[in-house]
Amino acid sequence: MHSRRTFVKSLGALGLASGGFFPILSARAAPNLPAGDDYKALVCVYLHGGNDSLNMLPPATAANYREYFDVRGGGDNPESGIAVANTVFDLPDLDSQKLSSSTNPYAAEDNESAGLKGVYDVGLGLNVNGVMPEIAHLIRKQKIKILANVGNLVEPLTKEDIQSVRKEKPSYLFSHDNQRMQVDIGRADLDNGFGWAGRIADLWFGVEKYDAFPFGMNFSLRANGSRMLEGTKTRPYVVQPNPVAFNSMKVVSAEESPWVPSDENLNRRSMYHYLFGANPMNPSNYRYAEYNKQWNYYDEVPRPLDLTNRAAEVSPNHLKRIYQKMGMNALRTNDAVLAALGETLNFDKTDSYGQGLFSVPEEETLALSFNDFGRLIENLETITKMIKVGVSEGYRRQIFLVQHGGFDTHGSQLETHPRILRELSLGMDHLSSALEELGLSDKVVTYTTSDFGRTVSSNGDGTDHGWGGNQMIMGGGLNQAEIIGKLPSLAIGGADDYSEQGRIIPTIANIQVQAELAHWFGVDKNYLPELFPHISNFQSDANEVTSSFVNLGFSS
Amino acid sequence: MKIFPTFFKLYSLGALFPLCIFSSPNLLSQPKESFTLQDRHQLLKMATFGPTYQMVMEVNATASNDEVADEIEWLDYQLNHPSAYDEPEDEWLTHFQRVEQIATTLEPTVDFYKDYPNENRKSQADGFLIFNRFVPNTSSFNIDAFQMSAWWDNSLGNSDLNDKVGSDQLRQRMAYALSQLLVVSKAVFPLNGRTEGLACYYDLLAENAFGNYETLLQNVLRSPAMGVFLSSAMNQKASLAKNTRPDENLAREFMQLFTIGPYELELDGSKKRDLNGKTIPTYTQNDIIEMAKVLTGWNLFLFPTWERLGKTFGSYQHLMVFHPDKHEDEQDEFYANDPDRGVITLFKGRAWEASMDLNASDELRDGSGNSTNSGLDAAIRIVFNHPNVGPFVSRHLIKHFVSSNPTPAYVARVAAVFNDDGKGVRGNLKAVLRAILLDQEAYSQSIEVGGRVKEPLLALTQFLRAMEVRPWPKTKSIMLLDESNPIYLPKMYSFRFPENTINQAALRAFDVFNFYDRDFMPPDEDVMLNGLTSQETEIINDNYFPNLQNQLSGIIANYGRFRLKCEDPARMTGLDDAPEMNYNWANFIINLEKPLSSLIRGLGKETGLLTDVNGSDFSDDEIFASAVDDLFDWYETNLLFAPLNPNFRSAFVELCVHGFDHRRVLRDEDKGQSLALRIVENSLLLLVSSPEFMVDAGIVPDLTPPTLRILGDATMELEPGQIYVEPGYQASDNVYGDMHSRVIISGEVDSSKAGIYEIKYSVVDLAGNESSSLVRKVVVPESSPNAGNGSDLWWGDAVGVGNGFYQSWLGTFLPFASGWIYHLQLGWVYVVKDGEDGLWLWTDQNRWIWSRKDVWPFMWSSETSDWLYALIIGNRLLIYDYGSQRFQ
Repeated sequence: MHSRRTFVKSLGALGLASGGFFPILSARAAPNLPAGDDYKALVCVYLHGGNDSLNMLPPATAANYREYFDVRGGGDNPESGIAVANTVFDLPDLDSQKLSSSTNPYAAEDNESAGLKGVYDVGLGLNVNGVMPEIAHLIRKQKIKILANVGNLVEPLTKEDIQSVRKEKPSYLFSHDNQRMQVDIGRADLDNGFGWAGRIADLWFGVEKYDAFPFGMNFSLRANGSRMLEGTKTRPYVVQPNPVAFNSMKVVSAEESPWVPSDENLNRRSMYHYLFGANPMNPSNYRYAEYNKQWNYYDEVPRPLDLTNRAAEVSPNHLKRIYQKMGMNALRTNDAVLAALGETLNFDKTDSYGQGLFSVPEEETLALSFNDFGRLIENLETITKMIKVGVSEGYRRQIFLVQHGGFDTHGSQLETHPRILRELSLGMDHLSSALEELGLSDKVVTYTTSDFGRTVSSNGDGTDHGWGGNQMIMGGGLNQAEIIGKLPSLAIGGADDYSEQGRIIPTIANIQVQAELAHWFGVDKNYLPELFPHISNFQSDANEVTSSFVNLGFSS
Repeated sequence: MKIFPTFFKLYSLGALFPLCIFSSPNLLSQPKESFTLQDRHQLLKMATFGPTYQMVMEVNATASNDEVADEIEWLDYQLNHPSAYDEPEDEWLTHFQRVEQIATTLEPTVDFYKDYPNENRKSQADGFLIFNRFVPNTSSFNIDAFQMSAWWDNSLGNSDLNDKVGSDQLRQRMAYALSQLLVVSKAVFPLNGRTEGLACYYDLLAENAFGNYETLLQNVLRSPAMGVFLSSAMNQKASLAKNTRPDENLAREFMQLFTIGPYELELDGSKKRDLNGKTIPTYTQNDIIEMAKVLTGWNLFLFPTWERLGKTFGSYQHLMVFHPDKHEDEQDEFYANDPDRGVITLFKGRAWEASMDLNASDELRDGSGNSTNSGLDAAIRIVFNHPNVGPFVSRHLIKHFVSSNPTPAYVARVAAVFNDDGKGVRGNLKAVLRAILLDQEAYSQSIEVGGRVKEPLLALTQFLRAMEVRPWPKTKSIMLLDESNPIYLPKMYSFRFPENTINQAALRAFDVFNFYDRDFMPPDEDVMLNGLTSQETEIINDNYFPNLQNQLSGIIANYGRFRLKCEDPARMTGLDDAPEMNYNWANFIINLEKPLSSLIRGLGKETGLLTDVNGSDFSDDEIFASAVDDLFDWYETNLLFAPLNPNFRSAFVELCVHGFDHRRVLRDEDKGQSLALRIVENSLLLLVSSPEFMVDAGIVPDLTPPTLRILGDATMELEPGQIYVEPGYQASDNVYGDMHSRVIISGEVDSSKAGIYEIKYSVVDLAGNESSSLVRKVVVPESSPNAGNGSDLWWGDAVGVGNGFYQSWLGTFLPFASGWIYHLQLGWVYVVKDGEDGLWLWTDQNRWIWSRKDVWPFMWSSETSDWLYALIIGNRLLIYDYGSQRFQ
């Protein structure tokens, strides 16, 4: 350990950002691999922009609701506020009774403020926004837990700690990219680094059945600018729900060409391989024997172009080499992703409207006007397909990140927020039903996370960047609905307010949740301090890293 | 084991080596004054959306002063080029004017200026014609496509429309660079559908591209696009009664993303650090709260409400309007405890702390032409004067224009110009841009770590411009009112959603954080080891490659479809019968006639016409290969503007000659034309999608002319009437490899007449270096030229740089005849070959150590029998010893 510390220190002195940019120099023992065929997957639903979780899960107790309403309700002008009304809607049992356009509890003539109409009572200290009946239903069925007041922390903090500058608070609070970075890299004091999930994939890089060839362990959907899955050796596979083939590898101007020789596609493809630094004819260029099967057809057709004995060209320029590698990877994965996503999944279960899983309801059915709607649902369907492929191919670990955007509701919160919450509710429900039908509910954990919570106070049209916020978690054998952690006071300038505007100091650190997820996923507990250097600050027992866990309640 | 040489350090360091361009800051800091052809290519790659052969040739056209390099005169011509922003009514069209023109032409049944009844709205009676208030019940989302078309016109040039549009290349390119710094995007409601606001915003960037950054900021913060994008429109003062306070959105991003960034910076762009090694925040949450107060009171022009944004409201073509009654004055009860109401202070406790009146008067008028007292310009000035702004903006621009990993010294030189242009003016963008484009480092970077991956959009524009792009003549209107009577797009490019296929489109970033993180590092050992960043690779993912390939192949295939319909393909004329194209396709039509001609001439058809090609022209492999070689010469000169890796080139030749089963063609004589076309299509597609085109690697100035040698006798005798058969010649270049196909031969031998004939040989490389010309005399015999070079030296493959040499793995050094070298980082080293591919190196510190091309930077120490690792960062060297597990 000593030499490693010295090493990191020297790197800092060189002006390189610290945090593991360097190749690991001494051989590290491989993590303990759990026995058996225990498939596990993590699905992170990233609420991009900082979710206003106060409106997603408004306070249920009278005292807490009062605090919330006083600030957000608008005081003398309640109608101009942005607090969700305390009207409690009836929630049908969605297993037996489906929603329709006329029975949407939240439906109203002015659907732009649908998210303010009322709530569902789920018997906890928090209610569920009226546009999220599926979430309320899942909570009632004991399938979703709520994590209260989660955020980035270096160490536990109170308001007094901050005022007296006794303890370290996260750097660059309230800034999107810095806070996102901290969520992604698993430490709240740096402005650059590699993702905690990326470094988990590094651990199992090349390990049979863990590193799910040809894609690798980590999958990213619509996750622009995220570091979570970026490792030092591995990059996430970026999945697009409707992937395209290298059509150009097949035909150029076939329309006008009277004929195309049968071997032409083959030649173009092998030339492309060559340009991107790999020799398609040489089986040793592939890490995995399985994949070579796909190239067997080379032996069955004539090879007019023989690049067999050519060494792949390697440029002295690092950036050219990087580009070559990326291109090669894209080509290598293309056939496989087309096969994986080309399959249509059919489920017996239906969504809350009685429609097929992963269908996107019409605007009339939803009774909400939508803009750019359905991407989360589509992406969660894609994730389900990749999980199915992972399981059927015998792979053991997969991590998915899907971004759900639009949460930076400084303005137009009333128009925007209900739509994306509605979509989140539908998406989580689709995924939950699909995994249940596939028998994988206990093998997959789905959780939400976000840049930060938002201010309790309002700017008149929305809310600004805050700190702590509530999150949801489901799957993995969690079978009790509860609130984990402590609900904060929402009083402006109160005990939990960092500023005078309701930026709530978190009581659970993101890394506590991440470390527990990583441990469930199979990361050896002794490696957790490497992934999350500040985890020891949250341990109640200095000698036991698991004492930092918030006890999510996994069955295994 | 070799014996340690005793003549240690006989050679003094002297003044020789420090003159090497890598280590002399003085030399580097001199702006560039003289240009090689290679430098000219580099300038055009940086300063345009893609060089064209014509541009390369015409750089001299603007030259008038013999004292100044033509390239500098060209640059100054571009920096003072007329534009659409000079006169309101002339042939020039602003982005907005072009959007209006397209919309009204293509959708004649829509009244884009109609004032739709709404009692809240002011009407035309107020004297304003407002374009596109999201016309109800029409497909106004088409405006998004029209705005994109206007961007293509200005970036690619559209000579079908007129020769002015897009001729202000540097201005447009700078606007594009600024659009990635001062980001707004269609991604946010309600800017989609009101994209005329984006066109106006881009106009604002282009108009101020060579102006002052402070003025630009004043405009940007008042622009409706920014007001909507970062919710500063409708932002109001605090009210205790309503429990609201100012919106912090724009306030934060203005500081974090547009001006100073979150960390305090040195002049050279590196982060300042405190005693604990931590970065230092530039601002506090309090500064954001204060700034948010300044940014209150603004709303869209002709906007009736302070509650909801809607697509149908307001003008996106006027700056926002200031409403004093909504502006923060700190008089509300909300500020009961504020000791100095009406005054705010920014950067408290820093040297640049400043206070200002919330009602300070502004310099710029608002959208309705009124002068205002919003304090906005006062606040902008305070932030603009923060020392971070120079390095922050300079670093962004260098990364956009030049390279992913500029040296700190480069950033510092440019930032110094930002801080003071030499006449005491701060923020002079014209001077800043000139400093960037004329810096020596822009023309001389490390082969290993220099350059940048082309961002997707620039890769596409460079390809299209080089291939003489034009819009497809018959693209169907997006709005099909009447199937039987379609409307065609008037000389307009259409590529509606580049962001969906190549992951990038101007003004369509995912959010205010632009397409990529400026400091993104792709996970790769080489890249990480060198601490390199490559922002572009963040959006180059597994989907990008097939999407890009398919997009390019579609564009290339357009040509074949199009060509068949041309009256005169060589001139691309007679397009009346051009087939219709679906508007959803990228409607670029490129010209393959010139590469085709070069292939066809190489086959021995002097006309270069496709119609003259027969299947039998491909029957001789040697002639076929040499014709393909000619084709690749054309690509180097006209598309890459750089040498093609010789190994790639030979693989391409192999593909073209043997890769297609042309024997089948021979069975059918008239398929020769198809084959010629397919060779050009295929080779172009593969070349453009390869790393050779897609990555601008580092450049080292190439001042070495090619070597040229004639085979056979330099003087030869012919019998009268005997036909002169060229005995051959060889040419090679330090950068370009084999130059055989580029040798120019002149002179004729008429063996029917007695005399002494001269055959002249010369060759010029792409950097413009010309070999000394050789002459073969045909009459009197003499001895052959001598040969011989240093190929048996271990550094025979090294490249000359400055007064030293550069080898791809060992790095930069100065060799001496004694066997000693002075290595840039290792110092004095004695080198001997190990008999195979490796080298034994003697250094003072580590005595004999061994390394090899595929092993370096690992080295094996014979002293300790342990491995060492050389970590080289710039000119610094650290050696990590695996034995002691520490740095030496």
